[in-house]
Amino acid sequence: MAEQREAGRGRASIEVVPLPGDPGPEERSAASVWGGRLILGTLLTLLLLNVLWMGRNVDKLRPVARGGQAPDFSVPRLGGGTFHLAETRGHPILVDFWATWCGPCRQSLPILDKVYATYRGRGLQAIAVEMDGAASEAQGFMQQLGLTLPVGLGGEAASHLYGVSSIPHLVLIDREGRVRRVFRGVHGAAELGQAVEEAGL
Amino acid sequence: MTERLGQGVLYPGRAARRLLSGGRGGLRDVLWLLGLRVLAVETVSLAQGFSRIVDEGLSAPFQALLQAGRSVLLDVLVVLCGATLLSLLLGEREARLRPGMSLDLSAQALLPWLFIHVHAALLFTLLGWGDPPERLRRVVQGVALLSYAWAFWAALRAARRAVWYVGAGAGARIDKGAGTN
Repeated sequence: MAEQREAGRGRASIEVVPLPGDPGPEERSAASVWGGRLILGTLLTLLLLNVLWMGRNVDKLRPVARGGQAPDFSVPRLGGGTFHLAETRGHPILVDFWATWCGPCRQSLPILDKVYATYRGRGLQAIAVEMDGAASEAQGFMQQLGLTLPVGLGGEAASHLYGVSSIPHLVLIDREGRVRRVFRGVHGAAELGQAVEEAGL
Repeated sequence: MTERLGQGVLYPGRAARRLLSGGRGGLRDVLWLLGLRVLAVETVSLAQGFSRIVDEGLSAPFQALLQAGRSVLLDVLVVLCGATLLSLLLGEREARLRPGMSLDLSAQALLPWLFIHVHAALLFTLLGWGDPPERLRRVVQGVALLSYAWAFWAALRAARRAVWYVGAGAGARIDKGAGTN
């Protein structure tokens, strides 16, 4: 019954005796087999469900191209309420995807805040969508930088719609709901301002 | 492999003894499972990343793979921390085990944790929760952590018995309550 293992030259061998109830070397535990099948089966089921979802939503997989219709999304707002992109139709809007752990976002958000403050009176709207959804951290981050920009939370699902692969990721959407420009990384206020002007205020 | 996975989930003590006796599994099985988990959970984001290869080149799928890898970063950290803790708790006698055994035992102890996370992910998918409530995520995380602690404890007990009685003489036996013969 005992199994002996030579652990290597200079090492004492280890004899590990199965305890009462342990299956023998040739015996397979039915519960273990079914447990293993369950975990593998669950993973394969998840994979299948995702593949089926992709098959039905191929359009959502395609990257949002310039000139294309901006996918609609809704996120809870920091401070209460819900932001719905559809309700901003008729106004150009800057949608920024960021996270509290993102270093470059510390540079890009103040710039966005400045542009928003400049053009807000002329109809520009903006929403900074935090990806991880941690309200207290987002609140602290905004207060630390002294920003007054509207913030949305838990934007990971929305980020998939916009093909966000790195952050900060800023999307300029025009009055008709079409994607005008996509800015990846940090961009200056002058460049953003010019793009906003061209989007039609 | 199916049986090893099931045993690791349901009978972590037995699984640890099997591993210590020279059985297969441990880190290798868990790595396969983590890879499959990444593929199953991050299918959509990986597909999106690869679909942008024409417009953005190789950086898009590379970014997608990095982001997908993030989803198992915590699992990897838990395994590494567990292996370190196991080494510290076993002390010098750990040298009596084959190299890498602590890592294998720690990885195998992750199986109940993975079992809970995988089934939670399936449940959220079936309920259509792309972003499940934070409180629920924390409950799942807490239960998974407890399950890892339970499996880790079983592995530690098995390893301590295995190393403690080595050198006690020919025919040293490690079984419950029997002491050394």
